[in-house]
Amino acid sequence: MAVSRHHIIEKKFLEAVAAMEEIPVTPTARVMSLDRDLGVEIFESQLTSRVIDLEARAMKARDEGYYTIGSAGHEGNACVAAALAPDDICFLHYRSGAFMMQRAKAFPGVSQVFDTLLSLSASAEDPASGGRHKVWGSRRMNVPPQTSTIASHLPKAVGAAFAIGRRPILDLASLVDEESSLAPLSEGMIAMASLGDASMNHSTALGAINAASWATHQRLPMPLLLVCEDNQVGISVKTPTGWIESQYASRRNLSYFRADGLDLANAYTVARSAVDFVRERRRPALLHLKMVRLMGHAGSDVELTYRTEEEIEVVESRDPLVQSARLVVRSGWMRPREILDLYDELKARAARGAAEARRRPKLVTAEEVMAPLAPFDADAVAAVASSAASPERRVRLFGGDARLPERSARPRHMAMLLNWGLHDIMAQHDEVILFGEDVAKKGGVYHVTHNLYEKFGLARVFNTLLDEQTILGVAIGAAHLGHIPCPEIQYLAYLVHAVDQIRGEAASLQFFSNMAFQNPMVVRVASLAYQRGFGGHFHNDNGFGFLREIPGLILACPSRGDDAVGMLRTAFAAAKASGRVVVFMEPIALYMTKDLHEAGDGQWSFAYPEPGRYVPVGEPRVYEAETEEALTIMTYGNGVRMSLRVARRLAADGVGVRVVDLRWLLPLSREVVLGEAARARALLVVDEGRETGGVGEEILAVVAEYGPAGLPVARVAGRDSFIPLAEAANLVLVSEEQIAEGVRRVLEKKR
Amino acid sequence: MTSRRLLLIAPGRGSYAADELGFLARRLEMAEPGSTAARWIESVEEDRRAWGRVSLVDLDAAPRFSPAKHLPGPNAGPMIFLCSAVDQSLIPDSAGKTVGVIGNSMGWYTALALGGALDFRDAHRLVDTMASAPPVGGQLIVPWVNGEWCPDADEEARILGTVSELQRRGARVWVSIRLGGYFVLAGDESGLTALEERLPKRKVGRHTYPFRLAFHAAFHTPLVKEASERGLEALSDLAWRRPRIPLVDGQGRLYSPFSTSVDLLEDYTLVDQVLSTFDFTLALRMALRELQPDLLVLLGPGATLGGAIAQVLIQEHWRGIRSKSDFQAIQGSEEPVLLSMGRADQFDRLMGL
Repeated sequence: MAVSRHHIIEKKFLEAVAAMEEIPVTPTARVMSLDRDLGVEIFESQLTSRVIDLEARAMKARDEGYYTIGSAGHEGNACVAAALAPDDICFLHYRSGAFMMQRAKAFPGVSQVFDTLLSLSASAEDPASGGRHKVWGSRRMNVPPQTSTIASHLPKAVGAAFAIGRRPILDLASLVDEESSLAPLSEGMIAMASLGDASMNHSTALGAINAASWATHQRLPMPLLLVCEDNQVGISVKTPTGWIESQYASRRNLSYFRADGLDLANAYTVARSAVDFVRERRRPALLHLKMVRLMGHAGSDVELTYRTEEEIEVVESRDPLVQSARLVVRSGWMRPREILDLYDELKARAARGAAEARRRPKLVTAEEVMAPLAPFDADAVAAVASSAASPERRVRLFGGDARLPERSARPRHMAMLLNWGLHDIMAQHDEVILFGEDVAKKGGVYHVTHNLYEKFGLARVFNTLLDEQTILGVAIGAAHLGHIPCPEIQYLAYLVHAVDQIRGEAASLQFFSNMAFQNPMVVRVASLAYQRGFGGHFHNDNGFGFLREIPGLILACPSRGDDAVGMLRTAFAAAKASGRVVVFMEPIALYMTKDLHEAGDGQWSFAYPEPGRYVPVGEPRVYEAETEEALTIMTYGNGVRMSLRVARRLAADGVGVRVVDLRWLLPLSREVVLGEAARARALLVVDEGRETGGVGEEILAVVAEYGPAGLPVARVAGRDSFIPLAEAANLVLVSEEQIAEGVRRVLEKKR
Repeated sequence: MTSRRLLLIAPGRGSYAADELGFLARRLEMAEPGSTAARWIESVEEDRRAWGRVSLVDLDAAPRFSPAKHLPGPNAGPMIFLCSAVDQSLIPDSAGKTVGVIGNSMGWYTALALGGALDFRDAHRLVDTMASAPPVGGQLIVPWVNGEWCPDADEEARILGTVSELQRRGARVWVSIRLGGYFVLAGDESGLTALEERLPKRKVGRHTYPFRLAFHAAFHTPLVKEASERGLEALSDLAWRRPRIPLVDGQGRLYSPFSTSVDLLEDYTLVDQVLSTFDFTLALRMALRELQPDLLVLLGPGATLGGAIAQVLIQEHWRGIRSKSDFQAIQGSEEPVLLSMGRADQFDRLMGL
């Protein structure tokens, strides 16, 4: 039987206040350092947060509320809010009610109490997410909503701090060139993120702390304040005593501050020191606040299953609200009666607010829910994609009119064309920054980023440490600060462990913030198999199903150099004009490929597309059959070149093959697929990825469900296997023989 | 806990018009001798005698309304202040508990008094000083909602676009007050003329918009900088206090009785409030959301602010009110959402609660 502790906690608070003596004790020195009005203001924020926690439970009991993870016991974080500046960017964990109440006081006109009630009731009018999640978030207050819960917001907090620290160098650089398109930042701005003691064990926390320390070790500015709100437990698992201190009290590149989060004066004073330290020294710090967790993990959590009643009572006896009330009374700032009256008043406001919030509209259709998922302003994207840096700028960049890439006498392979394309894009959009492992002086392991560092400097092109989670976190954080990041992932296989930064963080932000925030970025990934250089699975991974199920993601896969440039321009345009997250898969095996049918024919080398030429999202490239078409091959990436080679041989036998290069894999254009299926005599899908979870599955499903009845269809795909070393790799990958076999199979079906 | 929650709303300039003649006399009649109302009237009259101003009781008793006498600042401002304060003093305890006070434009000064941030005499001195500043520029009013008082986003954008465009060309025009379904725009003579030329003419009810507000200066714009400076100089000895009742100002800032910084209150009142847009819409919206009143009480004189209040309720769809018809329906019901003390029928209703 669940015993509702929240009534007991409330009762204990009210009784404790009623019993407090009215005679103020002479304030101690530590209290005197706290301004009276600020102290009471913080106390009011704490009270308000607690009242809302209780109302949230009442709402849930009435089936009007949908969230009961409360902030009770963590009210001390209001002191952190009071210590920060309005322009500091804050990534908050879920027990941040008091923080938000206090923060809102710096923003007149923000109705934080009512907004929270809207959020609890999943109202479509909730300003944080439009009813899509119960999050602490506000565009106006510089609090990007955290859908994560645990610690996956820390990498982007590091990224934001990094971008903030970087800005002075960027500003200097842009003084030399034209006006910067980046909005100015407030002087001394810092980034802040909060999390719990149990969450400090998460790999995302450790990776982020490592990255922050690594930057600091090199004396790079890292104005980041991490706040560990230590309530000594994670759901039912206790944090070992002294654990956080043992790990963080004496680290060289992360300064440690510690305070009693239950003591308003101490918490504020130390929070202020920590904030000032980070602001002045531009070094990261960890503020370790001792809290308690009251009312269990959430409404559904029955603490008695893992805590004794005695233990629970000990925790409740430390209620920070009682301690704050005691401070306020003893300092002569409020009388006990006034506190009780205020408490009643706050409860009346919350109860009525909940009733009003209930009446507000909810999300009622799938279209409404999904509206902010994948915004795409086609005109705006086209406008950006079709524009270019000024001719003067380009001439300066490439070192002379004759050296403009579109004037190059001979066609080039993909790596070269991409390199030129990146030069042009970075010259045109000064908010683009490019980074990853080995991308700077080395120019990338495939030389795609060669010379960018020399041309654009350390401020815009830089190496990162070896951690994809951090790379993506930097991208997300930098995007919050106005950049269009171009993180490079060295190999597709290395993306997988970090993909939550895309899936759960970047790609979901527009959705969960109802468009208040966007996370534009173009993630370039060296991908897929068949390359001759580095062998083994991790350099030849052909599985990207894990990307395909991310809602709102744009996934591009060029098969030739000119398409690569045209699609890259569109990718950046989609990021800039519609805030999209784009993953740009570059087939490694095609980077240096110059020939198509015979060695030396140069038919897979292409001219650099004129500035302003771009490939619209969804548009395929169709290679018509040389003779009357007998079938259509639908494919992408490496499959295109292989299919063309097979097609040439089949043409000699009088079999006409049309090859359709899809180019854009997400969103997969049904219009294109069904359009081609409608005019095909037979359809062969060539999918270089694995059979299960591959793009081929989606194409077949669409054709089966909506395509012309009786159309003969077959598929060739890679085996459901990891990729071995050396020649054995070819045994599990799609081969030209298999494609030819597939053609025969589907033509068989026709008969 | 079951006590009705009241939000008091104090009106601004323009509330005391021809129909309000005799307001003070009528109120004085129903007030007991020695009552707060009587004391306040006497206090204002005494101060005005000392400052060489015309008696408000006499002005109120005039046989005819004279714009030249009744509308200029030194008379209109204090008159409205006094009328609103007197109304507040007459609200019976049985009506409910006041949980917040807001005001429109100079109504903010009234709110300061009624909320307890300034004592009555200090507030009167504040009103008198600010209303007596030499008038600079003027105001005009223009609606942006449709006939049903519902938001028309295009019209709103058009009006704001016109202001921006003129500003870009160097004209001295600003949004002075955001007043529910209206904008009050302000500027110098050539700015106002430019606005009148560009804004579409609309007839709504009795009025053809836009129209100029007689004897109004360019309140809440940088044009009245001198008024702010005079205020800072002449009023530096006002005894500011934390309000007894929560207040919401023209920037949507909520002042708590327990933790208000009086420096902030003073700064806002004498600087920001004088020089920048007064957002009554936001003040009311914040008060509704964060103070959760059951009943709005519009203090007299007059009741013209009622329209703007209803329009904010519609924008908020407070209690499901989405149009003028909805508002009228709820007003005719057992539980109206607004009682205007300047309207005899609603005044009686309030007294009967």
